Amino acid sequence: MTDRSLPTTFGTVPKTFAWFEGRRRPPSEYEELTVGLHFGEEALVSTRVGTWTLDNTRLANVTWEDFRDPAQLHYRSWVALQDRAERELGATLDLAQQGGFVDGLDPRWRCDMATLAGGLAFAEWGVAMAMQYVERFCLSSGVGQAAQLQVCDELRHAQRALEWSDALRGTPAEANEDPARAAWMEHPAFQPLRKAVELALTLEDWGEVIVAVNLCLEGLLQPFQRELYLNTSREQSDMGSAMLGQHCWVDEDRQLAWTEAYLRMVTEADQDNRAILQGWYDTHAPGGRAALEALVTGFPFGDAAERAAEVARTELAKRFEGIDV
Amino acid sequence: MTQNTAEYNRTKRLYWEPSYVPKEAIYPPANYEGIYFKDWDRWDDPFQMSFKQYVEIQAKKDNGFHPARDAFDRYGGTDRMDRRWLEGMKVVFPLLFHGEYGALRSHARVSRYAPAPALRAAAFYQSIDELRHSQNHVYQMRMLNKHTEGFNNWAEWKRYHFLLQPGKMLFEDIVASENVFESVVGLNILVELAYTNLVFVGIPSVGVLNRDHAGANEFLTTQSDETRHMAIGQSTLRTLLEGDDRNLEKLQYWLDKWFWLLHRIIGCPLGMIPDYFARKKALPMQQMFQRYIVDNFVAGLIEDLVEFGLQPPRFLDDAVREMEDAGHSLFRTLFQYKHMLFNKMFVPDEHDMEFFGEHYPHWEERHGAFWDEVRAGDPKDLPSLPMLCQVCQLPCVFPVPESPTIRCSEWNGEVRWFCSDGCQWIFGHEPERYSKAVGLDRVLTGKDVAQIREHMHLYGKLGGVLEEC
Repeated sequence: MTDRSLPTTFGTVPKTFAWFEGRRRPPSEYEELTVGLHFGEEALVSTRVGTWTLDNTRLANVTWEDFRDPAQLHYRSWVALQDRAERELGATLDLAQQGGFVDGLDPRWRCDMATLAGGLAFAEWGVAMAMQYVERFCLSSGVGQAAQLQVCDELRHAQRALEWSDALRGTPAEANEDPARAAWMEHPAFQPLRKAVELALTLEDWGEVIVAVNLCLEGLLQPFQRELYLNTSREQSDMGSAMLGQHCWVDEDRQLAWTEAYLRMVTEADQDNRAILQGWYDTHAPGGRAALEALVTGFPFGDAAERAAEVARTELAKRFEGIDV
Repeated sequence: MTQNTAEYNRTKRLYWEPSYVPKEAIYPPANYEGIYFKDWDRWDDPFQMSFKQYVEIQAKKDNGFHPARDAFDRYGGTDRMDRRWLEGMKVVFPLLFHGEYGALRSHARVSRYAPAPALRAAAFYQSIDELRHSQNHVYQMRMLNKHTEGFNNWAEWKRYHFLLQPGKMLFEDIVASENVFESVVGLNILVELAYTNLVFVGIPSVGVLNRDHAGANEFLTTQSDETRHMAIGQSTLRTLLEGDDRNLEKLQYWLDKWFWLLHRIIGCPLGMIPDYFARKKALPMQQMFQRYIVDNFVAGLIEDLVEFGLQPPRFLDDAVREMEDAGHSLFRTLFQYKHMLFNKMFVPDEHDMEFFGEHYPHWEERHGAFWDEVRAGDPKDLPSLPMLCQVCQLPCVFPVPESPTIRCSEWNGEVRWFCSDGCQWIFGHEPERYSKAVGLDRVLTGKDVAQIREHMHLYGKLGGVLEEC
């Protein structure tokens, strides 16, 4: 080593970043990579769009950098996780198609499941777009990252759902004659859901978007989808649909967990926030319930859909019971 | 149809025309105001990426990159890095983080609001790429922070320190662009197509010489993602120019404006890295600028698009002329504020002077006397901040501090000062956008050095002169 190199004991050097000093435990890798990185509200330029301002949401008095995603995922761990997941799901779906397993499924089941999965792919895409807005405008590094990873997970689900819908149908769709899109646009079972998604895409308060989408819609529909896909696929010996449902759920469980953490943080910060959340919930929950009811009616699968809906309602109530909204 | 194309086409299929709310409520036209195009479905992502491909490629890259950095540190690589280079990285990494984090949010808006479905999908991947880059920069700072001072409070310094304010301004400006196509021109064309080659290819070649293999590795893995972003920018620019003649005026303005801002805020300060903070040198900055920006970017872009009337950036000649002095002038200026910095400065040695004499014919005449006086014992310290440009937030010291091109304009009854014709021209076009900033020079008027340091969150022995030099 030459004298121009850095001595190994170069004075007293810090072990972590200054914004973690004074804490009892050292920050996790997730925290060092995520927390405290959002750069300020005092923008140096002024446009109608703006950068970030406190009034981008009605929620107030929240220390936004206190947010922690319970999954503690950051890019490196997320991409490794999803690479493994995609290999597993991809292998199953490929085998189901190439090994002739799809051909052996009940034609009526294939038709219904193709329509359901294809339509829901559009909902996933819509949710991804809504969360892009959160990612762009929210005031918290941690919420922004959780939203961003959700955006990508939803894109994953949308692409895989459409792929599986095509496989069940047996013919890849053309853009101008797409039965999945036709179902999304016209099938009565999807219309309340599409309406709720389109309304969520017009919201301007990013805090409200999280409530409208992740609490009122995803909070009901994702447990429903999991139950429906797993239970009915088991009865139909449809490994592909079961895997799709399970993989989507693993991701969605993370999204619901960070949403719960977000709601807890906001309500604990200021009681007035509870009333704001309640107002948003009251506005958007009927749309979520209507979306669920229409799906149950449109895709009953015997009484499996109703049973799945009941599980979803119970889970939603249980997951968010401590928040009192 | 290949499997990739089939997967990509599925993503394009996911668009639908809303009917429960007006289309304009979901895709407000203000986001692409003044840009004309008949069929947005015609826009295609040149890479036709699917989620499955994306995570597969990126996981492979990360599997190669992170263990290499860990091994570099574990086996003493950080301790063997050249100390001067390390001081330069204290400025470079926070600035890069700023850029990537701003790009992350900016691409998120493009992916939400761009009128072309495929462009929205492509911006998805860009946005998550930028998360990768910003966190990779944090990984580097996290590693270096365990060995030396000057990395531990970078997130605060980017809010409060005058050295990082230009970067903050630049990337907030991109994030806040009202028109998503301005974001695409600013980010995908100027930042990514023009400047990432200079930053992520040019700089690591010098970093390796100064024993920063981890940093070089990090820059190169970042650049491997940028290739996709460049292609998206090029595809968008060509599509818009081909699609409607009326787009030319706006696109030319954005090219002119962002070229100057990138030159001023990235190009000029970056010159200090290969020319000063690199003890072992390779290409001088002026030649790097000529190679990566003038010969590769400008010549390539204009050759490709001149048929549609696109002209070279308006202030190209000014930028080329300035590169003779810009890095030298800024280094001198920072040396004068070394007691207000979080990194350390130093006096160029004989080896540096030889290099300057060889590559910068006017260096001795324009900058030599300053360093002679320093060597004679004048510390050259200044007690208050220099005048900062209203637009770029850099000190008004260009091309050389003795004869700067200071400009001023009156707006709303107030005089605003600028470092150059370029910045003044930009302000003249969008005064409301650029009049908001109150420079730290004005905020800290009348404060003494201790108060200035406190405002900028500088504590302990940060700043000053690198002892061994």
